[in-house]
Amino acid sequence: MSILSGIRVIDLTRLISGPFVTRLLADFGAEVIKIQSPKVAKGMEDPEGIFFRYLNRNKKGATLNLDTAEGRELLLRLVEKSDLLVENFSPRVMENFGLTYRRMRSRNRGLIVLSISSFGRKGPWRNYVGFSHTFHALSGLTHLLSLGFKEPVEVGFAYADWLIGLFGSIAALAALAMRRRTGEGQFIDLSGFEAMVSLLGDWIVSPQKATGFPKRICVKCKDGRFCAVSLSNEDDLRYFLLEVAGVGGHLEGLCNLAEGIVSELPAKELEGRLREKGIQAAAVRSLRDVVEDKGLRDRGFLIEKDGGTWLRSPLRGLSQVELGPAPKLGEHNRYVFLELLGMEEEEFENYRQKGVI
Amino acid sequence: MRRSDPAWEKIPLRRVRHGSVVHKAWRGHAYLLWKGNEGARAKTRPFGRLTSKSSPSGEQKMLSFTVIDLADEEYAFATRALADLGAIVLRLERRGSHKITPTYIYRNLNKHIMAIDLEREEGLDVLFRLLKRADVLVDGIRRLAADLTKQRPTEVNPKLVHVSMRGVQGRKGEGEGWDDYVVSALSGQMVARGSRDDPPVPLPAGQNHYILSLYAAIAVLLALERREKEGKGIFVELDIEECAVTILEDALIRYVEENRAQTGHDQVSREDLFCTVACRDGYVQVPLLYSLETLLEWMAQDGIKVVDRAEGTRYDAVRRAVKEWAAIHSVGELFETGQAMRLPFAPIVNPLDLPRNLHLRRTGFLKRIKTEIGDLYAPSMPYRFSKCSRKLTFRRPGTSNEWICKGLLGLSEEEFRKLEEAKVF
Repeated sequence: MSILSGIRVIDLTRLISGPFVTRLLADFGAEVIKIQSPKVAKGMEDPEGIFFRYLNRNKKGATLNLDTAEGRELLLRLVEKSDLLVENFSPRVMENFGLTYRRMRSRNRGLIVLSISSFGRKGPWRNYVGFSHTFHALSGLTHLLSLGFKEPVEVGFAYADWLIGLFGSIAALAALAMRRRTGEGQFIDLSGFEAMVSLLGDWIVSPQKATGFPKRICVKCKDGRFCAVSLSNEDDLRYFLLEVAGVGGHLEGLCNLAEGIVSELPAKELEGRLREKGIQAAAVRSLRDVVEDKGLRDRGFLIEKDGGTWLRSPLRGLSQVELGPAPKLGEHNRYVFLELLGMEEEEFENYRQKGVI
Repeated sequence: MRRSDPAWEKIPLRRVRHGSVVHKAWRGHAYLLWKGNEGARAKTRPFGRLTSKSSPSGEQKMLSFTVIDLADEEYAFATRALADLGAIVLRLERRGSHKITPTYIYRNLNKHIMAIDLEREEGLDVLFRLLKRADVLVDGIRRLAADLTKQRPTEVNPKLVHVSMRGVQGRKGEGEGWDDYVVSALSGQMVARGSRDDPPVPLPAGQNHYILSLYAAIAVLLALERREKEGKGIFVELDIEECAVTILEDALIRYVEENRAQTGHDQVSREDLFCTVACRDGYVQVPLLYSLETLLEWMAQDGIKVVDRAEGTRYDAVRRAVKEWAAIHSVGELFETGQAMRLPFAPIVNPLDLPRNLHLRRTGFLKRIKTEIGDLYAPSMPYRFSKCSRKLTFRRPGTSNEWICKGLLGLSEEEFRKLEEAKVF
């Protein structure tokens, strides 16, 4: 039996953070029903798009037009049969649909609603908009990345989105644990901005020193690649400078010199030499290196299936369900509306013709 | 029936009224609340009873289990996340090994910290007794419980959930602890940068430790769900490199699906989405793809026009125009006006300025904590539960020793004093 078998999740999320939460739950056996409106199933929500199939694996798919009163009523009927609803619309969208937590709770007291928004539902910025990179900028991440550069630099991935997903998973699982004890559902307000700030707490409570040890440097190597080196103490620094880089002199004067060193060794060789001495080092790997890494593949973390390269959850020891495909648009409509909601065939066809489903 | 009556603990009621709050019972039993002055109250209560569902104010707690935290300081955030949700977290520090810094406080808020000499037999005995009664053990990377106890913790307590945060597996140096800078290089994070022209950019120090910690908190919650179903403990091992790779999955997907097939590039860039430009008084991040037409209209009102609209070079031209345009504005103007038009503008902020951020203070996310080293503004967890408020408390290492020994383990006053005199604590 899967860990989360018996848990049903309504998934009203899009982009990365929300779908990541529900994917994690689906990976551990929850029945996740992704609700899509046919007219907005575009971009990252296009079932034929490159992101959709990765972020929505192991889920079921149904269509509902929430712009119609009938569509909203059908969602409420689904709420009655579910444990958790996850959405990441702007804060006013669900209210504008009339799908408030209070209304949903009146249909199912045990329902947990996880609402993910850019800045939360309180505070002066509650209606501001933001994406992953907005949170990087506002939280101080971009500032910290840019230290030592003339112009601000950015990471090339949606870092904050994945973090929000991790926090969202913690919140959802904690609420499910509490519901098991009390039988009561609740509303969870998760702020993307705050998620990013939480992870920079070290820097907010006090300035972090960039001096002293460990000393971290990125060495340009003979083959044009870089090698990241972390020197824990003076002995490491001395070895690195004198033996590897061939630079002599007093240690005090060498500390700053380490920054600008260009190694005469290829990156992999430098990594090997330093590791032999117990110094932490790694040639900076490209995405190709990561995707083709034998160790990650041997451990079953990276797998090839259906023409894609998949990352499994790193929660080793907890049995994950087999990798299943992402749903096609409305693929499980019959299951959701006929089986779960007990709809008659005629009613189902009627809704379909009216564009509600 | 008085609250101190031991029979209270065993009443097999479905619902028990306590003050104005009604608590539903778990497994058909009602549990006493634990309230203040812990050392004085504690006698011989087993762990299950201590994991109260409510705070002294009557507010319910999200989690009701007990965690032994043996993780290195870098990974202490895993149990902080659980402590914030109401779990009783007992962090065991080696006696005299900890220094109270703002970072230490931040990662250890809401925990009970015991300073103990685990080199001594008496200290190890306390650890064993705690392990026997706890629900969860979290350790990593150097402070592995197995090294201390010389046996698997799940053998000591078969119902224990043991989550172990580990270094990079299968490589030289495993178990020595991996610097997150090096993990950043190994995982591909350094090359997945904003612009292809930039040199490798690592995430700020400590981020991979935090990512690993968040996964550990999830692992605990999932493992407890499994224990609930199967009735037995479990060992879960997390690899820092794998966790680090997961947070750039979007870059990997783009590489796998687009770059590898079409161009053979092994890097990705997000420079088509946003650009960061200098204003009169700082830098601001400008969204390019998001409502581009609105942005162009706004710029046109300021007399800035994008002249080159040829296919393929349009974004270069937009970027050049945005640079020219931003230079005549202040950061505040662009941020506030942009957001009023629902465009995700954002200033580049120094994290040290965040304690003054009005939004974060008004929402109660940043909380002021009084400590012996001064007042701190510390972030809470980023979620608000309708049934549980956010509270942050720092307890000095050692202040919970008596409560843990007498209250949780049931040691007598004499036994506790003996341990103290032997300098085990």
